[in-house]
Amino acid sequence: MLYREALNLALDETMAKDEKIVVLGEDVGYYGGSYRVTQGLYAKYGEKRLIDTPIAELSIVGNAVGMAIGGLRPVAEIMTANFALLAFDQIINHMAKLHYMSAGKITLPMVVRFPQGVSRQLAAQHSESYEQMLCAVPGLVVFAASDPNYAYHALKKAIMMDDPVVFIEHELLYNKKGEVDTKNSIDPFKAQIKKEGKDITIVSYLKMVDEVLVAVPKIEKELSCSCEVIDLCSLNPVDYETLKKSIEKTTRLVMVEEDHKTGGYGAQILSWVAQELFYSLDAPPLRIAGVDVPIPYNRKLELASIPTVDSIAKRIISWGEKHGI
Amino acid sequence: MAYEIVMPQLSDSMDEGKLISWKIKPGDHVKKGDVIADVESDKAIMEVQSFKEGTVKSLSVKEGESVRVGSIIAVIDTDAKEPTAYVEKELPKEEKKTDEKETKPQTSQTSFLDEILGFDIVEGDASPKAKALAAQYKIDLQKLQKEGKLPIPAHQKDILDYRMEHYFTPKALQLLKQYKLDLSLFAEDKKHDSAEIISYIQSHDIPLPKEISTFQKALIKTVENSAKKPTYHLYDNIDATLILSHKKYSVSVWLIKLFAQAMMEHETFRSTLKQEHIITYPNASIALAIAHEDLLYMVVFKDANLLSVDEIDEKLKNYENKVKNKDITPKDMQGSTFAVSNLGMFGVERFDAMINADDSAIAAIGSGKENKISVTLTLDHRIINGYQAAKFMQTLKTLAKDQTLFKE
Repeated sequence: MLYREALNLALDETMAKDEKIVVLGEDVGYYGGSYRVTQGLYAKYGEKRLIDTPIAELSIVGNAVGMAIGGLRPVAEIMTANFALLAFDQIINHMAKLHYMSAGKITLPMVVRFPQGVSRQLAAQHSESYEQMLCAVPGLVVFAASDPNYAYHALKKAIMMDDPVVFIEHELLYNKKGEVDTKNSIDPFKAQIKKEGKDITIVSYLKMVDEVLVAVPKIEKELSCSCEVIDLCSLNPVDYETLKKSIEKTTRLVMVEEDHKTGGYGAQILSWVAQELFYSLDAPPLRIAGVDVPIPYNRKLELASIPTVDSIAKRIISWGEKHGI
Repeated sequence: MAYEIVMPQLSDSMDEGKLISWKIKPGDHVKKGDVIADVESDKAIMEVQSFKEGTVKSLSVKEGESVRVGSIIAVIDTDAKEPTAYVEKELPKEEKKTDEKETKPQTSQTSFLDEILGFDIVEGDASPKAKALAAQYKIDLQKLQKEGKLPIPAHQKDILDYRMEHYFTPKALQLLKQYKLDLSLFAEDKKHDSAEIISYIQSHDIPLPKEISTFQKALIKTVENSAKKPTYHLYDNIDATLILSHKKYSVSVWLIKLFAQAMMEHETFRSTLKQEHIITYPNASIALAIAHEDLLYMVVFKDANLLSVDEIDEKLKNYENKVKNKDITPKDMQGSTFAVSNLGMFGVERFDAMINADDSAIAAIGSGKENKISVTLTLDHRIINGYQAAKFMQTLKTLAKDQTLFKE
């Protein structure tokens, strides 16, 4: 099943079960979604449950907040994270805080779907990632789906949960194929060990998980070691238990993320490891992230601005050689 | 709580033990696993460990004194917190006097960290993990780095390697690996040699874990399958005058020759059961049991009826070399319908054997008496009946006396 089909199935199954669930966003209804995630749902559930909105992100999330207060379970789609900047007042001040501000009287069972990341030559204003901002807001649950199976189970859980969830998707993953086990549900708050190993823990999320998994055989060969690859899955809250277990075993941490390095999300993971697991570390933690520049339009420069399979392998190998692996 | 340490029973036959030397004195703090004394049993001198942490309250046996197994030798107060801090324990006395003012805040700092971390901080240039290990194993990082015995910076691996080389002889390490024993079972107070490891293994009755090789697994499967076959035995002797008179070739060589000839006259001995059919081969192929170390090989003399005694002899020598060099391939052990196992050469008078793999029968050769060698046939009744087996034995006996066969 494709990643977008898994998301579609999650929406379809939950919508069929609970008529309080509505989807709203730009082109989500008649057109079937910019990334075909809502394809076929308009015909099935009609215009009252799949609402095409104007190009006005603040109002999309604002309406969703209102719907949630009123008792619906809205799933809002932002066409790309870059446009979500306009909606951040609603996301931060209302979606994340109303439950707290109302002393728990208001609950917001809502989801904002958030496609983001460097796609292919969409330039600086259409290639951003915003997990670092979202995770800095107490009150928001942030999921990041890197494969169809997690996308399916985590979106279902996000919709049915009473907490407000920002559900991050990567624009290049929509056509990713993968098995979806619809029978056995998973805990979306738990980090997933994508590959077991004993010498280096490589932590990542979203599309970078795939790049890491491709780079790993070369790293293992060059350093004669074995790497454990962890997909964080839930960016807020973080499954520190799984990370701790792995890092205590391997004694080494590498964090790989696509976003700009300064102020990026991975800094939190490194700060945590330095504080909590300092005496378990046999090497300084390595952070591989995007360059601190607006994402260039030129394809070569675009690729040079983010971690790639080659650059991940190269960086980890030279780091490993320097620090006694 | 008071934890009483008693004279341990270090061997089955030990009734009393002599306390050779104390490693602790009242007021000392002991950790779990710390060696507290050397004790002499009826067999060896061994270390006694404390299984709990606490402060030594009293010692009730003098050095050199013997007490019965089970008598209390020391009492440890497990409630007492560690009274002495790192600096006081480790620093030489002169230094402590001159730095008395500085020592005090440092003491409180280390014990504070000690409480949080569970270990002391060691000086030196190393990764945090390496430092933690150095503290745990009481390795003086800084000193060893100055002496060039540890690299700068030191990593986990360097500490572990140093620890192994420093505290264990290569032979001891090999033993630990073989017995899958953890290094931490042995205190880091001196170099441990293989004799010590062996005595530990013996006193703790630790079995040697040995993985079953693929070859042994195959052997186990073969004999298990063999045990399922409906077999019976036939006991007889053959005249060995002619066989033994030819010194040039071994008994095994002649037996293969004779059995091959006999098999040509009895087709059931060239037959085997395959799925729904009994298939019969035109030639006689015989497996011979050859043992090497703890492995048993059934090497096959394919179409042995077409081979001369000389060729059989050469082939056997070739197989013996291959077995010794472990060069035997599966192909060398396929295609037989009958087998020979000769324990007579080791003086076994008579025995019976298990049928090999897909064979229909096996001959167990014993040393016999007075120019006779014993032959015990084990037969698969699905393929060979008693009448056929008796006829086969008759042929074999005739062949054994046939002068023309032995002219070669």
